[in-house]
Amino acid sequence: MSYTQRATPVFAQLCTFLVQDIHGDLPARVLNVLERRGRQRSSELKQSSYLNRIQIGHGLVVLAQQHLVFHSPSTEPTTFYEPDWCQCYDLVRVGKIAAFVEERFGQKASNVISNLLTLGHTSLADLLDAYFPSSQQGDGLTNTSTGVAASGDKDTVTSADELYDIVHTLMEHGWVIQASEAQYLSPEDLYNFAQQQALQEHFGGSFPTGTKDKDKLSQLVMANKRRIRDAWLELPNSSSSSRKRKANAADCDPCARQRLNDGQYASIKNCRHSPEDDLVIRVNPEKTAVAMRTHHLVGLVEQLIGSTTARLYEIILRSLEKNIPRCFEDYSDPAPANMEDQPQWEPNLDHIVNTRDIAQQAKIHGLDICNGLDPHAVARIAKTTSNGKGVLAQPVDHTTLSFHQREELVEGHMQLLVDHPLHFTTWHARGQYRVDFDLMAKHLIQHEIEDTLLAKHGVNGRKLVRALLRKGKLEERSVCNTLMASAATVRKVVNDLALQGYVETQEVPKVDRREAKLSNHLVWYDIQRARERLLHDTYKAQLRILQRINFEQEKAKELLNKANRTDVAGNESKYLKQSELQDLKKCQEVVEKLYLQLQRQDDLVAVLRDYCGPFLTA
Amino acid sequence: MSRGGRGGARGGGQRSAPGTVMIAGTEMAWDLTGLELQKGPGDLFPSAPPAQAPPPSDDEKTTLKYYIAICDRVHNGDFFTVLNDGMKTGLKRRAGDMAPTDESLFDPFIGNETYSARYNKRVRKVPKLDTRPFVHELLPPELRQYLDRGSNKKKRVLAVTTRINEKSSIQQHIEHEEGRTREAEARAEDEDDELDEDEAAEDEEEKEKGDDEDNWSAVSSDSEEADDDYNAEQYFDNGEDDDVDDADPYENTYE
Repeated sequence: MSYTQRATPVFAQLCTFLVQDIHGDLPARVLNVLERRGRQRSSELKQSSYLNRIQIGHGLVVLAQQHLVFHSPSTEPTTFYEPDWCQCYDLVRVGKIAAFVEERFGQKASNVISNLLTLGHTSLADLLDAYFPSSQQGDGLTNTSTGVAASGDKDTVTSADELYDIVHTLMEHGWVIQASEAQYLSPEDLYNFAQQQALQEHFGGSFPTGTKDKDKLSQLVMANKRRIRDAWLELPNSSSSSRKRKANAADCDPCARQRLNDGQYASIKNCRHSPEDDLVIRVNPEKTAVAMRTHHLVGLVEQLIGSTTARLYEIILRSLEKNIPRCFEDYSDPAPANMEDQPQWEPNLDHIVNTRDIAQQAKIHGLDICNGLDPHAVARIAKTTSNGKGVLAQPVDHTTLSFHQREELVEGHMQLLVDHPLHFTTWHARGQYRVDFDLMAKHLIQHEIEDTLLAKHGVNGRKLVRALLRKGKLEERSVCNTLMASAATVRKVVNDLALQGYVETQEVPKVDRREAKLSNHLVWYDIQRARERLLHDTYKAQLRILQRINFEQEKAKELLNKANRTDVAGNESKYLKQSELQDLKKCQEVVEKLYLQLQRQDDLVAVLRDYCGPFLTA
Repeated sequence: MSRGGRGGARGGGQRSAPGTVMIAGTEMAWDLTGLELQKGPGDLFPSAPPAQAPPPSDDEKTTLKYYIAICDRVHNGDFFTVLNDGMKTGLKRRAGDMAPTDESLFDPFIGNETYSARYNKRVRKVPKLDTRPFVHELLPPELRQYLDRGSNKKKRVLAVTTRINEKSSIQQHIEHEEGRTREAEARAEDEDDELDEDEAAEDEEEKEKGDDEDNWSAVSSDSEEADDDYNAEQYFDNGEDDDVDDADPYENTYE
């Protein structure tokens, strides 16, 4: 099973709560049954649930529409369902996705993406129809959209071409991907499918017997999985410009068609029809983590180095984002058995930036790149003088700098990033720098674990974990020596941490009896275990927050019901008392605070879970 | 009282030296003269206010805005369901458990249907699937039958909004109201400053304003002037004009 799809009961419960919070009771109940019983047919679901067949069917439709369940391929006679925990958890990030898209592509794009988030996957033609309802529609249409936007409003999509362009941009950057049936395959189904494919193509449909062939098969399976997945990211064939031409051609077309049809109006949908309309699109769930990583790292640089450097770093990471569809490769080739065969570590060429490009970008953004650098260096580059106190004699106007000077200043900022112990960037070649995300991710995780231990167990907890990380497995006596602390202190903190699962202890008897006195007591620390431990605690905290939100809403249920009444909604001031309005506000403030905390916990989850794959312990 | 029995007799017999304590007839040489016992209640546990999370940054505000907006839209959509059937999970009841009945789910305080219940927000028990177009190929065959139910006459259109509201409608109104209160206060202050001018006009203005403010609350304070005959809370006039003023309140009660 995929690493991220493993579900502890707490995680599963958290996901069910999230689904209930956003999509309502019925899907959550169905998911609940799936959680308890695992992979099931819908008839089995009915047997183990109190819900009836229709309810379960409707619940499954809602879940499937939002990609919250896996189902086995439709070619098979019976359909099995299985919860997709990762997607369920990603519900907590809907706000983040929309906010990130707004930051990068503007209001209109974020409007499109939040519609996609609300609706699940949809075909482009349907989306177009919803944005620009054609006049052909009947009277009693259930169109709840606000219809055609008032022209001139700069935040709304005004034309079909604009919508196409937005979707195209989003797909190009990997925020929106094609929906396909393979996305509904559970990890097991996907494996079987990929294996079948590999067997058919390379081994004539029968299982290989030799070790080498088996290795080759597992490699082929992974390659197949990657191929299936990468196909979703592909853009539709026509490029933006050719599509525009097509749209223009279609504009002329309907006239001809209308005449041919002798008065019968061809529906506008048909006129607009292009191969792209059949495209089914959805939001890419993996891209969020990439943007969250950018956000997190930029925040760190701002905190540790300076704001100007942080802005430059943001420019770097955002320019890389287009090439990074996901944070880590889930389907990497299995490591070879013997160490010699292991491939040399190679820098990822997608993660390289040019200082020249960054200098150019910084100029476009109007960034004052002289800030946050050593004044002497700035003075040397900008050929002005600085007085002895480290203050520039006369301020440097960053707009008048030559291109070469800019590049050098950017180099100065890059040097700051390179020199930091976290190695935000690495020198790659002349004028080129590389961002090693994987190396940083491990540091970030360790950093979070240490922070948590510092808050929970004081300095000693953090010291112990750092010492163990550095020295490996230690005996009690050497722990005391390393930490330069008494045995009593060390024992206390070791016990605390071992109880919470952050460090492990091991007892090795020296003689054939098992006596405490005559045994070695070893302490060791494994970052992967500590990481999962902390992740689990975070999930639990999130679950508690959601329960608290439910409780708060239950407390003010009567008031909320009243405020949501059809005659009251919109006329709150008229029908609600002053005290009720105040209570309502207070309740909403509390709930918002809780949601905020939920988002912050999610940032921690992203650091711990999404930035790199599981560490393998040697 | 039984206190005076044995102990009292013995205590009366022998007088111990000051500063010694008798326990079970044995004289203890504990000098307790300087000891002051604290008689009042002890100190309360020192109050430790819980740690407060820092206020949201701008980015977090945007995120929250979108999260709440998207949630609101899903909640107002056709797929959102509220079951309210007294079950916590979707699993089957255990053999001994009774199914929750209508009676057990009924809340006698607010559950009784009133006329205004027709304004209550409708909650769905089953999602209404015939309102939007689906991509049939992506859903498993056995679920496709649910998609085509309902009327086929209407053209199905996705419910998209062309813009996301920054705040939920309730919050907008609360803020609107707050703004109005602030404005009214500011206006009142202004009027205080220039009190002498144009009294007549001001009166009129205040009347209008007063009417506005009366709409705020259901309970109006000056009911008689406002002709508020149907206000049940004013029915007894708050006991102001009670005829039996100084009479014994328990005159007519049984003892």
